[in-house]
Amino acid sequence: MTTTGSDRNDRMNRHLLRLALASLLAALALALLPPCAGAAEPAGPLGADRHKAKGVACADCHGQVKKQAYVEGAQCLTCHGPAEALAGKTAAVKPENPHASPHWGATMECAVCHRQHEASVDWCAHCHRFGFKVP
Amino acid sequence: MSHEENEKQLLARRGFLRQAGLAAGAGALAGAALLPGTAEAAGGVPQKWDETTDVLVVGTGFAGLTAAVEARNAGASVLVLEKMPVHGGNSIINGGDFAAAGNSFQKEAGVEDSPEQMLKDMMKAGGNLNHPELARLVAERSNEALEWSRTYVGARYGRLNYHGGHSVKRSVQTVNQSGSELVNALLRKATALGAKVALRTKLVRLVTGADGRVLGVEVRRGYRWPDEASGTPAFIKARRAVVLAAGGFSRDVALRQIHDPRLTEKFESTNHPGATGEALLAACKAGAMDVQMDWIQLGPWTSPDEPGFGHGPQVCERIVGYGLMVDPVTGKRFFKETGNRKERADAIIAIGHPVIIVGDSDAIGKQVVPKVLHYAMEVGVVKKFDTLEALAAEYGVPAQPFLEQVARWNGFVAAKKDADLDCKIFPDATPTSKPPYYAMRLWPRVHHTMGGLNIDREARVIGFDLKPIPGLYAAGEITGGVHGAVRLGSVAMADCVVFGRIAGKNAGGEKAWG
Repeated sequence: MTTTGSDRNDRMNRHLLRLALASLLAALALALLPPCAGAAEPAGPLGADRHKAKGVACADCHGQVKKQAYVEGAQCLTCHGPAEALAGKTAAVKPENPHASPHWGATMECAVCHRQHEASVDWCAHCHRFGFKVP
Repeated sequence: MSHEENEKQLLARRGFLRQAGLAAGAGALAGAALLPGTAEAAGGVPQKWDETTDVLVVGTGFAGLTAAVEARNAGASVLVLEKMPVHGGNSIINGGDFAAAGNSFQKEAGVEDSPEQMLKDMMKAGGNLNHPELARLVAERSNEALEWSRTYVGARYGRLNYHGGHSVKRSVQTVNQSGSELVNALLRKATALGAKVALRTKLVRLVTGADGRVLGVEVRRGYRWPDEASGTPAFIKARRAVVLAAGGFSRDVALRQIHDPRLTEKFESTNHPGATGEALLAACKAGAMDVQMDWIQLGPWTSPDEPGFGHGPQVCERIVGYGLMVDPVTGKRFFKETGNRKERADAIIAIGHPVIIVGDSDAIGKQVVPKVLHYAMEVGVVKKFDTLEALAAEYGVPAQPFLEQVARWNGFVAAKKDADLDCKIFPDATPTSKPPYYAMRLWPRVHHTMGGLNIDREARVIGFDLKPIPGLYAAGEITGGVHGAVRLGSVAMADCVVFGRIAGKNAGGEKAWG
């Protein structure tokens, strides 16, 4: 079977379109990444998956809401807190205790670093090379 | 979001746009105001406000929180917005140095100073482009502002420092060598007074009435930096006034390149990642005039061996006037170490590669806070050497010219006069001769945008009709004119607290429009 010129053109156009789409998507993905923040590699399952595996239901964090909503640190601390005790647990982390910075100390919102539905982020990496592995 | 929800939103938006288009057409035909329910889309006044406050502050750094405290004390209810998920902006990562003319630490150390002297230093560094009446206010009220931050707000300060370009040591540093000491004290004070702070809430635009008065703001609540599509729109009514204290635009490569095309993405910045200037542009859209936007400062004390502001600057800036800065290719000094930021950054950029600054154990021991040195060495920014030869070898400096240069510098230190480059040599400086020796590499980063909104002595934002825009105030780095061409180190804290107080008091004292 022979292909006509217009067939080839069609295929070429489709190919170009796919390429353009792919690069657009890649650019979009890049744009969505927080610049500079140390986007930690997702070491295995995401935070939400680990919560789920331990029997935590969506509503335990989010309450009865229709769509996924931001969870305040106070909610996290009902299980993980109080904040000062939590900061005590990471006192031996080297080179610094991430929960005792001179900037925000233990008052920082948990989800700034500990993302549950995407890879966690090392917020300190904007300025410091502490190399934290953020769960 | 599910596919179905996504589609529903798209459809809703299309209907909304169609309605807005029709409304605009009808409005133009009738020469009348916009149809009800469509004002939001066309940039008008909303029919219904989602929230009401007397004074609305944008930004949670020194200027914003200071304004919040003063507005609250003027009897206004106060809401402070912050687009980032953390408070503090650049202020909470700043080095904690507060320039104050005639402060108590100077008196204790026997340093003579005056507001006139500080003003002279500011104007000299600023190339006399400073709006003199604004610079004068900062100098005159600097010590009053420092004392207010100590005695009323509760921030603690511990030592007197020198910053390049000042004629004397006049910068008082917080006990933790960080602006966080003051930011967090301000936050505690503001919230104790009843001011509310909303994080992750981004300003979209200022809402103005037909007469140009600022009535409130449109925001996105639940904004997830840096996703511009995130959050939900809301309107907040500001009955008395809006105070813009959202900082500069050092991290906005496109905006800074419009004003200084040389500052491409190749130049990194010391700033927090949200320093991108949208609030400044929102004010311009509401009729505010911007001034001196192309004076963008690079910090000459950052290290290419760490990200952001880092630890290096607090080593480098402490040892200027005690140690020497050399070009590693020639082994020679090339610029006066105590020059102002712009002069030094320009000199390093002209050389075209990172330079090094050197101090001996006496300079480092006397001048650098041990904790700061510890961090700077831990990350590898500052390195320690037993001999000057070892130091030269590490940085590829030709040893002989370097050793000769150190000997020459030591002669100047002994004479207390630098015959080559006129570096200011401090009375207690000693020759660079006591091992171990310390060194760090320097390469400038974009640090401060001197330009911004045009304000008057009352912190009122001036519009293109050269008159104040009713209901709009601004303070801190978002404004322009105070520093002219170059901001001297440690004058930012003075600027933010002096003008934050003025803006807060005046905004709180405004007559409510509704």
